[in-house]
Amino acid sequence: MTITLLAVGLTAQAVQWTHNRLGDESTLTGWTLLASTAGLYLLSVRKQFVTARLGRVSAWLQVHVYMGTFASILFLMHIGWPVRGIFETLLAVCFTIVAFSGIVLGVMSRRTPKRLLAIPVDRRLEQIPADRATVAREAHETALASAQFGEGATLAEYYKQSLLPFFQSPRGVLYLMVPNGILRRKLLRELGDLERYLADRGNSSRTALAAMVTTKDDLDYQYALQARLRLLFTFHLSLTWALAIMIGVHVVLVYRFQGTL
Amino acid sequence: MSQCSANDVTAPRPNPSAKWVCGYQRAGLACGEGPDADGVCCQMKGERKKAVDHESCEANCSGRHSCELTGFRRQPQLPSHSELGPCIPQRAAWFSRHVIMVNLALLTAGGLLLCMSLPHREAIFVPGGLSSKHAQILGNLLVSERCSLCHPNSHADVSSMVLQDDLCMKCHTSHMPDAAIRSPHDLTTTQLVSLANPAQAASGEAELSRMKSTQCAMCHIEHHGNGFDLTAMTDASCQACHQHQFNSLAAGHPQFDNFPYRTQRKIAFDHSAHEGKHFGTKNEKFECGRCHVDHLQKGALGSVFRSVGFEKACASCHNDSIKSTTINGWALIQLPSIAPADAQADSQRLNEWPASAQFGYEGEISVALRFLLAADPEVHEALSRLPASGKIQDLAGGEEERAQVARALARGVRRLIADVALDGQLAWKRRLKDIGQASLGRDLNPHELQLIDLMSNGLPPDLFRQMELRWFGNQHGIASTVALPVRLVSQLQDQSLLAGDSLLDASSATQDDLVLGDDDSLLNDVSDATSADVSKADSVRFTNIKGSEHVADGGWYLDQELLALRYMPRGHADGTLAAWAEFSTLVDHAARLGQATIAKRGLQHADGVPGACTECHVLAPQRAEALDDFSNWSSAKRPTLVRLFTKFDHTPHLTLPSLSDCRHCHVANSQSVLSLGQIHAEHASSVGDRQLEQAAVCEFLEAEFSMMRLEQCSTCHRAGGAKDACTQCHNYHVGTQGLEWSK
Repeated sequence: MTITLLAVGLTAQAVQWTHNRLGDESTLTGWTLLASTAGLYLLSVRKQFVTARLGRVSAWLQVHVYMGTFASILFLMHIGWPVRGIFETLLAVCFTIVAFSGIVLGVMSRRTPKRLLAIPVDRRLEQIPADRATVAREAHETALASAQFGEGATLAEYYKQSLLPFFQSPRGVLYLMVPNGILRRKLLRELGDLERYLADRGNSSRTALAAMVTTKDDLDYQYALQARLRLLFTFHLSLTWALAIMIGVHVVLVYRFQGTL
Repeated sequence: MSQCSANDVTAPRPNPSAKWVCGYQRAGLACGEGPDADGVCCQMKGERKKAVDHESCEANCSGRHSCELTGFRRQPQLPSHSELGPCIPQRAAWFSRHVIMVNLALLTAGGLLLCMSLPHREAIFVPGGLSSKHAQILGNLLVSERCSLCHPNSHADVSSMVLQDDLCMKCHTSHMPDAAIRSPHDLTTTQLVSLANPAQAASGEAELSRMKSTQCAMCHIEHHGNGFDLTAMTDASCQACHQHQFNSLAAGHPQFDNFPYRTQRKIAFDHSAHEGKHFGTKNEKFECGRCHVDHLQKGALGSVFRSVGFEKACASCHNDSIKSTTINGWALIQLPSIAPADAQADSQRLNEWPASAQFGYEGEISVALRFLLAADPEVHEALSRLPASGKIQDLAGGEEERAQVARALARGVRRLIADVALDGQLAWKRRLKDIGQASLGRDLNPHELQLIDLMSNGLPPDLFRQMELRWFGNQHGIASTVALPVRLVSQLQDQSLLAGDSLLDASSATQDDLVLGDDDSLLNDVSDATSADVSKADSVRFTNIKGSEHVADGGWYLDQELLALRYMPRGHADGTLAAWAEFSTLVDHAARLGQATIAKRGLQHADGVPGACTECHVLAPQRAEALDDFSNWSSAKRPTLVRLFTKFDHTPHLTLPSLSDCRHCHVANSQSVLSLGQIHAEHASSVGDRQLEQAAVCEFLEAEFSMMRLEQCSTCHRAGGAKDACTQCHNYHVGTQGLEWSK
């Protein structure tokens, strides 16, 4: 980050120096911005080479983050304010979206692993649906089995009303955006309240169901955190090619209308 | 084909670079092989492309080999094969992102191409609105035409060889006609060097030639919208080129150099004398604004002027005194007196010399007559012997010398009168032109020719014919420098010259009418007088006419009593008198510089041209010789169209109570030794030294006020106070015109 800040400072000095010498600081910031933006695409290129020894992707990602920070600040130097022109505004909006999503992604990619490590279940995103299905099947079997015991249908009835939707259906969009333990605590509290109505075998099933609620919620939490990260990553990446095309058109227009192209 | 794992329903892991993943993955039942690159399920490919018989598959599956339901086989409690339905491969996460990226890119490219094909595509791609002034001009044009007016190569109809600055100058040439394009301040390299360091012109020029050229767009950055100030310039931009770096006006700005009195004053006005002597004695308040402020006008410096003009500023006090100096007019030609014996001697060719001018060798040769006679080679000798006073009687030599000079001058005057009588104003102008060229040693410039026109303005040739008839008695022997035409001789002999002469017809004498106004009596008198029947009584009557009264408002007339041709000025700012004064100054100056191809020949005159013009008007021949500066007769005015290096507007300053008194900035120089009056008095005694007097006057005017100091401005113009940016007081675009004026 120190190097990034140093680069920003040097560029700012160069821009000021160019401005004071009646030079074209827009050209200076423009080409620097173009070079740094092109550098950001190198991470995608690196990812294409799975076997080649080109350094760790994490190192490349770190460079990508620093270069992205530099490019974002340089972008603010380049455009001035306010941005005018329809095309120029679209280009600026596109760059801003990519840059902002990149910044958020950078923050989330650092915070999410810590949150994931805090829970015992560790699964990849692709594995979670299957695990959720397994847990759901086990919960269903446990609930059906409990109905055969002497406590009657108390636990089965509760399972049918409250736990079955929890195990069988995915969590809502709101939970995906802001994963929380509200439903988990509610269900566990309700299961705890059933204790007085159940005998030993029924309580054993209740305890098993409570454990499954915890497991399912952990899987949901895992899924939400990973899906959110992947969604943002998709969002960050999806505009990059469009941005590249718009940058190309912008450069051509600038030099064309300057009379040098 | 890998073996199924008992503990991992998804094992083996799918290929990370695969575009498609098994459709059963979400159920944790992904097969090991997965779909192919086209997203076709492995069970649907090749020989296994036939429909899968799930029941048969279940029944026959040994569980040792992989199949689409590998996980299911190991966990028989899971839903059956048939319950899951057919496998529908799903896109891998990265491939989904890739598809979105490509689609968005194609959408963007398509959208841009669509925009480029629209008729108003420029409106989409223009990087912002134009500044208000450009928008006003270009607002009515088609959008496509707007771009190509300023951007070379933007459209096919503009050549790529054209530079943007050239396109700028297509419109801006009108107010920057002499701008050296792509050069700082619109000045040429030589001019810049002369400003920066005249002493090192050669090295400086080489240094400047290495400097990058300037472009309009370096400072004037367009497309920042309607409210953007296109002319805004930062101090740092100025200091990009200027070697002397400083922070602000208060800290580091070079001290003023002869500011604001760099321009030479043309009106000799002694402020101290007027305040103390003239206004003081009248007990009137000496207010600067009375002569310098005219709120009805707007000049380059606001409503403050060097002078608001004679009529508003000076006339109330000086009009009468000016009139008094020319109350009897100016005798341009006056016959010198000779001895009666000369008129009797045929050898002297002065037989017809008027009897009233035969009382000895006397007479004054005016400066005008000297110029006119100087064109006559036969008079050169006599003129050179004339004293500076122009009076024959002041000749230092003896009686014989006075006689020789007087006779020669008399014959010269006789020829002059005959010339003009014959050729009219042409002869008058020819003589002036000859003496002008001979004195200046070159052809006359347009301004000098215009002066000669003014010097002859309204001169009636009829007055010269009247001289011929009334002073020289219609004699045959008119001594002209040119041969007397037969027509005139016969007419003179016929004694009916004017009676039948259409020249004197009232209807044809248009110019003379203008000169003489309503006073036609003189011309009528001429007609009468030239009549053969004119009576002696009439002669007496007409002789008693006082011409100065008849042409009181200006014009030419004959003084019959003193045998002189006089000119009555039309009050202050009389063009003819001013032209004579300027012409004589020019000739005098040229003679001093040694430019004259003829000897000085006594062209100087102690009194010069009457009217006391030069008491107030500083005639500077060295400036008048420059073709573009003829304004000696009016106060210096800052040109409103020419952009100078320094700009200043008095108006906002005068609104401040502390600055309302002009003397806050314009401080009289206490070190001035002589007043203007003392200078005039000092030079009044030294005959023929008008140049020295004018030089002394100029010196006085330059030193009358103390130069302004930087601190007078920086008191207010500083950080936190009034603006102190470079462009607050300085213009960038100067050009040769502004540079010359600034000097």
